[in-house]
Amino acid sequence: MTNLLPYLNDYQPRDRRERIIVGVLCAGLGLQAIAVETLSAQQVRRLGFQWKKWRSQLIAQVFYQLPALSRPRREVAAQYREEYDSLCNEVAAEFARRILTEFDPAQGILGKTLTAKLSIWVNSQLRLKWRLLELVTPQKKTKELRILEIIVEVARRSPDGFTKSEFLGEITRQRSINPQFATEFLLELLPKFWSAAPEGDRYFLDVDRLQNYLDQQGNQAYEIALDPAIATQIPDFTHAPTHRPTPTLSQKITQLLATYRDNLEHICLKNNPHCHCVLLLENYFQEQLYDVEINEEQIVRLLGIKRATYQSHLERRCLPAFWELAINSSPVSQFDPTSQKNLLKEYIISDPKLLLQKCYYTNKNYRDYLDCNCQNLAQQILKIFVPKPSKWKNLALFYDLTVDTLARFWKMKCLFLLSLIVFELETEYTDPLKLD
Amino acid sequence: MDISVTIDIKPEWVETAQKFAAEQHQTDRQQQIFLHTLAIYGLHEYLAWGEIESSLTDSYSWHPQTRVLTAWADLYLPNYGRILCAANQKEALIPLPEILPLNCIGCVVVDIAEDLQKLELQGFISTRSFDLEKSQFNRADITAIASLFDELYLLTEEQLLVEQEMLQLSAMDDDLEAYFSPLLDLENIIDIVGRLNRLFYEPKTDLENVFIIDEIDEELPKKEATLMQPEVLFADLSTIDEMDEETPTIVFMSSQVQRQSLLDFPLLEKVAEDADQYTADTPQEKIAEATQALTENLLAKLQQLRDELT
Repeated sequence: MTNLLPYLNDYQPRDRRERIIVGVLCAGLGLQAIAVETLSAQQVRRLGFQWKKWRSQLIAQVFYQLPALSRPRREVAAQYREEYDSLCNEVAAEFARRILTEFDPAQGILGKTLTAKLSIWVNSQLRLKWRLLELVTPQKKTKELRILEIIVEVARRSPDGFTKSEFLGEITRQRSINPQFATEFLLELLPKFWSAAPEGDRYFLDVDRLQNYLDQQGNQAYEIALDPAIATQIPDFTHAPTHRPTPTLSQKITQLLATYRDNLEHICLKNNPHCHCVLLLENYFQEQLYDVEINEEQIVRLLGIKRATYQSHLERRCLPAFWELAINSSPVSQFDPTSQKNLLKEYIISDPKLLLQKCYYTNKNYRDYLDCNCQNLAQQILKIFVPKPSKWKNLALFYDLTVDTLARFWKMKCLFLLSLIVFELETEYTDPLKLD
Repeated sequence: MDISVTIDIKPEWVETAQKFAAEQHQTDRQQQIFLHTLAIYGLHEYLAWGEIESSLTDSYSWHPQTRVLTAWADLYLPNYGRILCAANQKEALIPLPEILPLNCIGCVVVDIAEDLQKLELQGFISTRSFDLEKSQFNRADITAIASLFDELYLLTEEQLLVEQEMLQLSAMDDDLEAYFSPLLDLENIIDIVGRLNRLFYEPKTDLENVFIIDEIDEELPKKEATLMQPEVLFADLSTIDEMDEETPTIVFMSSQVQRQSLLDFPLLEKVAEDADQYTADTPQEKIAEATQALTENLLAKLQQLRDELT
C-alpha cells in the first residue's frame, strides 16, 4: 500500500489543474476502498461502470494534462507522430492500471509539485522516456544489424574468406540497404574482427567474435556496453595472472573498474538508469588507453542527454570518484603493519621528485598560487592525514580562491596526479612482495 | 465534476476526414462531413479510454453510401446502439436529424478548434431529453460527458431486466418459450430495449403507432432486422442518386422514404397481414396477450429502475 491517500489529503493544489488531478485520484482511491464482496450483483455492475468512467477521467484529465511528459524533439516530432500517439496510448493504459497501487509520491520520486511527480513517474517508472528513445533511435541500428547479419552469414559460408563482390551480391538482394553504406560499414568493421589481414580483395573475418558482437548488439541495442572488440584485448581477471609481469596502468584501471563496478554505478545515477559512471568511465578509458574512437555524439544521443552534461559529469563526478577510489583502495594508502608506515603518506610528506609541489594552481591571468599545491591540499583533504577534512569553504578562504575553483583544481588535477603516484608506488610495493 | 474533455486531434483523423469530405461536391456538405468525422473519432478515442467498445466501421457515417444519405454523425457501440455527434453547433437550440437512427442512445456535443489541433467533448444528452416534436434539443440540457457512462450502465441494467423477464415468461409455457427464445439474442434484446425506451420519450400521439411496430417486430424479429436495415432502403435509392445530382434533396427524400417505409413499405404491409392471420390462432392470442402484459410490466419496471438510479 502506498502513501498516496495521506499525501493527497495534505496536498495543497497550486492551480485548477492540480485540483482536478487531486479530485480524480481521490475518487479512484475511493472506488478502490469499496469492498466488492459486500455488494449485490447489480452494485458490482454499477461499480464496473464507475471504474470505466473514472478511467476515462483519469486519462483525459490527468494523464494527457501532465505538462512534462517526454516528447520527441521538434525536428522529428512530425515524423514520429503516429508512433508517439500509440505509445502514449499504451503508457496511458499502464498509467491507469498502476497509478493507484504503485505511485508513491513520498518515495524516491523527485519533483516538488504533484504534477511534476506524476510526470517524472510516467517518464521514468513507466519508461515513457526510454520507450520514446527506442522508438526514435532504432532505425539506423536495425539497418546496421541487418548488414552485420549478412556479413556473419557470408563469412560462415566461406571459411576461406569472401570477396567484396560476394558481399555486395548479398547486399543488393536487400533492396533497402545502400551498397555504399554497407561497404563503408564492412570496412569500418574489418580491422576489429579480422582473423587475418586481407589478401587483395579477399577478407577473412573471425566469425565467432562477430557472432558474439551481433548477439550483444541484438540483445541490448540501446545499452552501450564495453565493445567486445576491445574486450578481447583486456586481460581476463578471473584467471589470476600471478606469473604475469607487473600489470600495466591500463590493466590496473580495467581491474579497478571491474571490481568496483557496483559502487561506481550508483554515483551519478539520477533519473537515467543507463547513464552511470561505469559507462562514462569505460568510454573514456577506451578512448584514452586503447585508442578506440568513441562516437560521443551517438552515445549522447542514445542516452538522451546533452553533450555538455555528459562532459561535465565525466570530469566533475566520474573521474574524480574513480581517482579517489584508486587512491583509497590501493594497498599503499593503507597502514602497513609490517613496516609500521604508510607509503603514500610518507611519499606525500617527503615528495622526493617534487612532483606534488610543482602542481600548483595558476589562474587565467598567470597569477601563481604556489601555496595551493597538491602536497598541501592532499594533507588537508585526504583521509589518511585528516580523518575529518575541513570544509571546502574554509579551505577556499585559506587559499583566497572560490570554492568552485579550488574544488575543480583538486578534483581534476591533484586527484589525477595522486592516483598516478599511487599506481607507481603500487608496482614498487608489490614487487618486493613477489621476491619474498 | 462538470468538465468537458479535450482531446488532441491526430493527423490521421484529419486525413480520413478529408478523404470523406472530398467525396462531396458541395462545400457546406464537405465541411459538415469533415467535422462529423473528426467528432466521431474524438468520441471513439474517449470511449476507448473508458474501455467501452465502439466500432467506427459499423457506423453509418463510415459507409460511403449511408454517409451521404444520413444527415447525422453516429458512432456504433456494439452492445448498446448508436450515439449521435453534433459538431460545432453554436446555437442554444441544436437541431436533430428528422429521423433518428435505431437504438439511438443520445447525442454528444463536440467543439472542434479551428486550427484542427484539439477537439472538446462538451457534454452528453440522452435521447430522453430530446425535443422530438421539434427535432431539436436545448444546449442547456446537456450533462457532463462522463454521464455517458451512467447512461450505458442504465442500458445494461435494462437489457438484463428484459432478458430476465423474458426468461421467466418462457419458463411458464411451451408456446411462449418457442416464441421468446429467438428474442433472447443480445442484438434482439438491444432492439427491444431501444423500442421500450422509445415508448418513454415519444409523444403520446405516436404511441399507438410505435406500439404496432413494436408488436410486429417482436413477432418477426428476423424479418424485421432485414427490413429495418437502412442500407437496404438506401441501396434502392442509389439509382436516384445517379439520376439526381443534388444531394440535399436525396437526403430529404431518403428520410421521407425511411419514415414512410416503416408504415407503407409494401413488404411490411404483407408482414402485417400475415400477422393478422396468425392472431386468430389461440397460441398467437396467448402470445399477443403475454407480450402486451410484458411490455406494460417492463415499462413500469424500467421506470422504477430509472428512478432508483437518478
